[in-house]
Amino acid sequence: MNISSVYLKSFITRSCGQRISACLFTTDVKENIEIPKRIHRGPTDILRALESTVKRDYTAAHYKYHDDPYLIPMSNLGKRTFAMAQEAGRKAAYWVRQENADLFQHQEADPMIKSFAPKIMYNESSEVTIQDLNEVIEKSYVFDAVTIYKLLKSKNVDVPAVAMQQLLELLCFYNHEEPLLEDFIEERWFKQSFKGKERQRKTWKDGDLAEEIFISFDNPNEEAYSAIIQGMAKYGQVDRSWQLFEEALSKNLLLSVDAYNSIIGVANFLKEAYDLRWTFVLDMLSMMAQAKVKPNLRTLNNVLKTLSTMGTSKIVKENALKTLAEFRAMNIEPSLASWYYILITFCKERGPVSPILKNIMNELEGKDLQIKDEKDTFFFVTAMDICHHHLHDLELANRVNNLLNLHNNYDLIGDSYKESIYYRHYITLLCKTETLEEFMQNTYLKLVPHIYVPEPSVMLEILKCVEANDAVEYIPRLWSDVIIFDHVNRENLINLVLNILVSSENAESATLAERFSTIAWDIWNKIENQNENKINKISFTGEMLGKIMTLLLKNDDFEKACIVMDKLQNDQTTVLGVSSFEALELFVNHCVKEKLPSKAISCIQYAVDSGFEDAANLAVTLNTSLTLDETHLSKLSVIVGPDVFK
Amino acid sequence: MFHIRNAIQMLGTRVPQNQRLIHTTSIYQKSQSGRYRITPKRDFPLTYEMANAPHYIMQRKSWNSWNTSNVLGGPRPSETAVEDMFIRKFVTGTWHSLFVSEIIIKRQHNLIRIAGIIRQAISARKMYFLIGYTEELLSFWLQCPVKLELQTVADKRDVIFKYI
Amino acid sequence: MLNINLLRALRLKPTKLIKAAPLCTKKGKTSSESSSSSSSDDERALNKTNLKKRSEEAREKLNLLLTKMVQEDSSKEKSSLKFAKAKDHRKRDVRKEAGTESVKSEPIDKGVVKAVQDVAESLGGDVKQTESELLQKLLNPVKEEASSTLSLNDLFKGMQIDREVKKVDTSRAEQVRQALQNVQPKAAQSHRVTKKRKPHQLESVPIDEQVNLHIEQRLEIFNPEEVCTWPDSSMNSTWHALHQRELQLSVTHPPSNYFQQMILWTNQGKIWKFPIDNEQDLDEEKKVYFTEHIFLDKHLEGWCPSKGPLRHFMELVCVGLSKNPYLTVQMKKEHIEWFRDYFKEKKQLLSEVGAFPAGFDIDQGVQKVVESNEKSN
Repeated sequence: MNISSVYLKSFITRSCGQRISACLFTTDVKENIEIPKRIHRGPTDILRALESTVKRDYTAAHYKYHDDPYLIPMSNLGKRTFAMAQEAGRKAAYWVRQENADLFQHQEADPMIKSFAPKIMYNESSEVTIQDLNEVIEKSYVFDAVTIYKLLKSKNVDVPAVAMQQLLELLCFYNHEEPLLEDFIEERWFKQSFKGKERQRKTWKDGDLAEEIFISFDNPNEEAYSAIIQGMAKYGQVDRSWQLFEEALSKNLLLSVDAYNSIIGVANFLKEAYDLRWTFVLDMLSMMAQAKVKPNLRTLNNVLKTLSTMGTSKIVKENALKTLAEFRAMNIEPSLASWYYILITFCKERGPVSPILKNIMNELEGKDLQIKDEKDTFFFVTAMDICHHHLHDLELANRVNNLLNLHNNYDLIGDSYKESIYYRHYITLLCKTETLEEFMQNTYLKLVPHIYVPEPSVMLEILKCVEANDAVEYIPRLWSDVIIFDHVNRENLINLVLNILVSSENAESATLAERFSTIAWDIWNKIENQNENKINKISFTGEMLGKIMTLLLKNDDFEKACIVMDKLQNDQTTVLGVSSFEALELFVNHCVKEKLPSKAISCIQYAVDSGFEDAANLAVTLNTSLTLDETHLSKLSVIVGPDVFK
Repeated sequence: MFHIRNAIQMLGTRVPQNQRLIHTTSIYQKSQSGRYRITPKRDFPLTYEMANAPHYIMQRKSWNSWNTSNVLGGPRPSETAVEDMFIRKFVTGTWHSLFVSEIIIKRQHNLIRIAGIIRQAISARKMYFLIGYTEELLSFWLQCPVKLELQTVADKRDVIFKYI
Repeated sequence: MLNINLLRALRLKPTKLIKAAPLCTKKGKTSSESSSSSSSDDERALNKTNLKKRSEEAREKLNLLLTKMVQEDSSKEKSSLKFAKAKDHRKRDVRKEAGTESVKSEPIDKGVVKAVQDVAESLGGDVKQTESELLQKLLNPVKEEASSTLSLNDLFKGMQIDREVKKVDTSRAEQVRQALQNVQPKAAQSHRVTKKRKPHQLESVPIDEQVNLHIEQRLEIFNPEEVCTWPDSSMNSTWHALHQRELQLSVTHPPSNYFQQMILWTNQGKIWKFPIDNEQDLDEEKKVYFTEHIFLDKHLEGWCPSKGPLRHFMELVCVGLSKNPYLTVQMKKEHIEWFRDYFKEKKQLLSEVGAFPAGFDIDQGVQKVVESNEKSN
């Protein structure tokens, strides 16, 4: 081979020869073609890949709503009602199927899809086996499991210890309550989470089946002890869980790590004083170390949870950091729940301002977060709260928001309640710190209304911002939103809008004046045509009416202004307060323009009735600019006194 | 009768230029289904779907059922036809006098999508209830996921294409 | 008694001061004998001396300051209207205010410290402890939950930046005046800020310390190397499963696009899995190898004659069955067995027409086959 290449080189031109030798050379080298290994794809991988290409469409309502103008919800109430109505319809279908279970026994799909088949009902006369018990436990049907268990007992069937243990765990986990079916996603989404309140109350069902089962074990093992300790701790039966814990320890049983976790988690109920509480937690941890129980993430979170209930002192914070270090040394990385507890430990409402969120964000930024603890969903809403109330840090808020929208992190927002609080903080903060223009363009027009519908308080904040900037150009859009979101019954919002419109300095252009007048007339109509039976109606104030009138007159809507004036005059009993003098003056001027002295006179009458001292001047202007006939003059002189015209 | 005899006679003559076949005689070929008769007052409303006769399918209008049961060797053609009929009956009954269009049934994998146009005669909330109910009950009956894709019109005259 | 001293001496919110002012004068007029019985004798004595020391001038000054503050209070509305005219203004405002405040709040008057020391000494007991508690209370009037375990040194950290050098042994009146002077700018300032932000955070001292999340210090309870070797807990498997299920459900939200819905349906087992597999979920059939479906001749062995019309017929039956996708192997077998039994019944006729080859006994064959089947079962 080498010889031939030399031979060729001598004959052929250089470049060519080089190429050929290169060619010859490559044949020498063994090329390993590596066939890539087959990557196993799950059934959802293709779908996930496709899904990752779809971005949130800010101009469309959520996918669960039908894409039709009539069926798209516009207010928070609408969002909730529509989704829940659909869920109610589904529940109705479930009920129909369950009531007529015998009709739904056909087999259309082959193989049968289990979730479409009616649930098997168990009652007192059912024939049941251990097999059935195992099945319902696996599907976590608590009531069915209890029924079957009782049936088996009544028939003197021996339930194996494994099944008993499983049943005990099921009962402890759900506290004898049927969990919500996993199909009802909307209900879970809209169910409001009662922060911690549920935990504090004792809801454990004393003396129910779980305890019976536990007692029926002669000499219960550590698994049984662990299960019942966890159950009791989870549902607030703290004292007895502690009692059982001590009992188990005295029997030298090796409890599970979750049992220890539960006890640490309820330390704030067991020990009142902060230092005692911390000593208790440390004791627990050293007991774990002695018993060689491997701690896990939940241990960390429960320690931090206890620390977060121990006030604002510096030592608590130090201990929290030490705990983090301790668990990090054991390769237990904190989850979102740990950071949540750290946040509430460091950033107390009344304590000093702590920038710890920045450090936490440095840790978390860019990560694809997974749920590891049930409290993980509290992180984002708390972090945004702290950005808003604690730090007022726009940049940090944006970082939190970016993290939330990364990968599938949005799943960790929790539920609809937390989502709306999150956005309430975020929007209010943006509104306060960004320029109004940026805020409206980048945030408001993007997020409202499909992602977030501002609550009245947030709307008020935005409107205040508009007022401060005198940015009336946003008012038409904001006002239409106020109507759509059903905030028209908020008096403070209406007053503020009117204020902005009246005091605006940019309103000189004709188009704006026209739009303002439409808004003013809209407000008038909304209040005037309220449902009689409505509970908290809003009523006109004289000031409000005066402003409406001013706006109408600025657009030369004299007829409408007359209607408002009539209201002012005729309903003085229902209308609180009086209109401003400027509005009346404007009205009189317009009367002069329209040459309608009688209207002007009644207006002056109103001005006098309301006790404006300058009412006489109005009469004078009227007299000078219009030639009044006898009757008018006499009326005027009765109103303002005869000496005015002399 | 005359026509037929005539036709038979014509067949007998075997003149290829004048050949007429039984199935092309005017009486025999007269098809009535899917067509509407003009009323004397010309006030009978037709939707676009109704205004186009069946032979316009695939040209001016499309099918009402989309599936692969009827292709050569397609699975369960008869069952599909019966199910589609069931779905139409169920939906028109559940959404009483709300549908103003034909009900289009599209099948993909084992997913059934039901589309149509409805009137805004009931509140949106009630519609959502019915959507949930229809989807869920049909999926229990047909044992596959069912999805409703509805559009609404404010007035049923919105879907009228012409009057005959 | 303690309260009076402290109130006089220290920076407080103006509203509190206003409330406290009449209290002071009242206490001043009425003798200390009428004061609360809980106070010790030492304290009374101290109070008496305090009263003497307090000069008329100081009292006047105090009143003057208070009225000033009230005036300022009423003027706050006006300033609130002005705020935030344009974007940049607001931003700068916030920054500036935060900045000035952190400087202002840091120095703590030595006078205050002295007063606190006096009070602490008069109380007796753990002097240092009392002192630190009082100071803490004063520096953060709203921070009620503050732990009492904070050491004195920590508190004094914030006091080190003291611009003016002051004599420690000033009179009580002087102390009060100084304290009030310190209050004033802060109060006025907090007014300006309160109108737009929540008030409470502005009263607390902002600590700008950076928190290190990766400190070396540990609790020193577990030994990391050892822990790694411990086994993972395998107890309470049902509980774990349920916990996992709840966690998954808590992040399962209404699907936000078509693909997400498909994913959800796939996970719930409602829709066919991708890529489409027409044998999905046919688990029973998966256990049977395809040859069982196709080569059915073996089921003829033993009872079927090896040639002749019967054999020919049964082979055709087998071919037909092998092509049938709708029957399970068991059903195919039963099908063949039905023929077997049928022919067995008709053996008389069959042998008469000569369908059996010579010397073939179907009964025997069937017997053998059945027996061997039973054995294998």
